[in-house]
Amino acid sequence: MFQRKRRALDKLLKGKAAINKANTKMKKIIFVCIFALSAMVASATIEKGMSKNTSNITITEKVVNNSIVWDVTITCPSGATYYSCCYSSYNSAYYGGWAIYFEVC
Amino acid sequence: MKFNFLILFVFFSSRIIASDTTILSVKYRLTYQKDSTNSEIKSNDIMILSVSKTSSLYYSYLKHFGYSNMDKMQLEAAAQNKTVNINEQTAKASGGFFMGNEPEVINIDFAKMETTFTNKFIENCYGFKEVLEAPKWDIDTAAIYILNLKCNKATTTYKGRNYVAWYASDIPVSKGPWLFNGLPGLILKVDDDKGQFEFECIELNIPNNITNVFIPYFKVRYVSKNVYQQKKKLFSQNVVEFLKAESGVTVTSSNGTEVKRPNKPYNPLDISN
Repeated sequence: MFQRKRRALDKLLKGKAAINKANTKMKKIIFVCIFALSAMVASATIEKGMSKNTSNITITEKVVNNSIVWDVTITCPSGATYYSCCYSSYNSAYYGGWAIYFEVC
Repeated sequence: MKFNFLILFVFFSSRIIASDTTILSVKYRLTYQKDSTNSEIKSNDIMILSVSKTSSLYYSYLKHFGYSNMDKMQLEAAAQNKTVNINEQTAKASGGFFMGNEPEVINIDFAKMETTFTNKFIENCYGFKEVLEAPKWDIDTAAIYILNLKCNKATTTYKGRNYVAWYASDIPVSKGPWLFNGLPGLILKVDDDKGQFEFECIELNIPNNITNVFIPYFKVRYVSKNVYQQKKKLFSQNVVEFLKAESGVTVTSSNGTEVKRPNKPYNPLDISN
C-alpha cells in the first residue's frame, strides 16, 4: 500500500518537474523572441532617423577670370543652406566648408 | 643567449639614438575649457608627443588623423579618376568630424633651444619661431602613480598660468606636453590651478608606432608671434570673419544676405601677453 502511494507520488513529482522544465524553455524562447523583435525595431528607428538627416557639403569647381576656384554649398540638418565662395583649392573648400558647417548649423 | 640579446639591444639602441629618430611616443588626453567663464563645458583632444634625442614634436592626433584620411580618400578617388562625394558619412570617415581639434603643431629643437609653432588656417599655413623658454620648476616630495609609474610633483608658473606637474623619474626624458620641459623625468600629467587645462598621459609607446598620421604643414609663412597669435585668435573666435579677412571668402545664406557671426569665447594656454 505504502509502496504504491510512493510510486504515485514519484510519478506526480516527475510530471511536475517536466512541466517546470517545459515552462523554463518556453520562457527562454519568449525572451529571445522579444529581444530580437526589439533589436529589429531599434535598428529600423535608427535607419529612419539617418535617412532624414540631409546635411552635407557640396563642392563645385568653376572658372573665374581664367582661373579655377571652388565654392561650397552647406546644407544644415535643419534644411537651411549657406553658400561660400571662393576657395583656391579643393582641400581649402572642403575644410572651409566643414568649418562653416560647425559654425552656422 | 643573454649575452646575444644584450649585444642586439645595445646595437639597436645605439642605432636609434645615433639616427635621432623618434625614441618615444606619448599619447596625452587633453581636457580643456574653451570658455574661461564657463567651467561646465569641457572639450577633449588626443595629443601626441613624439620625442627624439634632440627634438620633440607635439600635435593633435585626432586632427592629423582627419588630415591623413582626407588625403587618402582624395588619392584613392584620383587613382580611379573620380571626385570625392562629400556627405556627412564620408566627412566623418575622412576627418571632417575632427574639425574642432587643435591644428597647432609645436616642434622643439633642444640643440638650438628653439621652438617652432606651425598652424593651418584652412587655406594658409602660418608659423613663428621663438627661443625655448623652460619653466622654472619647484620640486615637491609628493608622489602618485600614473600608468603604474611613480610620479613626483613639481609646480610652476608659466605663460601666465599656475601648473602642477607629475613626472616619472623612471623615464629620464625631460620633456612633456605642449611647452613643458626641464624636469628630471617625462611629464605624465599637468593641470592648471583653475582647472581649465589638464594633460594626462594615456599611452606610452617605445619605439614610435602611433605617429603615422602626422602630415607636416608645407608652404608655411613665418610671421611675428604677435601676427600669428592674432590670426589664431580670430580663427578660433570667428571662422566666418577669418575667411573674409584672410582670403576674401564670403558666406551667404539662401536669401543672399552675408552671414555675420558673433565672436566665440577664446581661452588660449599662453596668456602671458
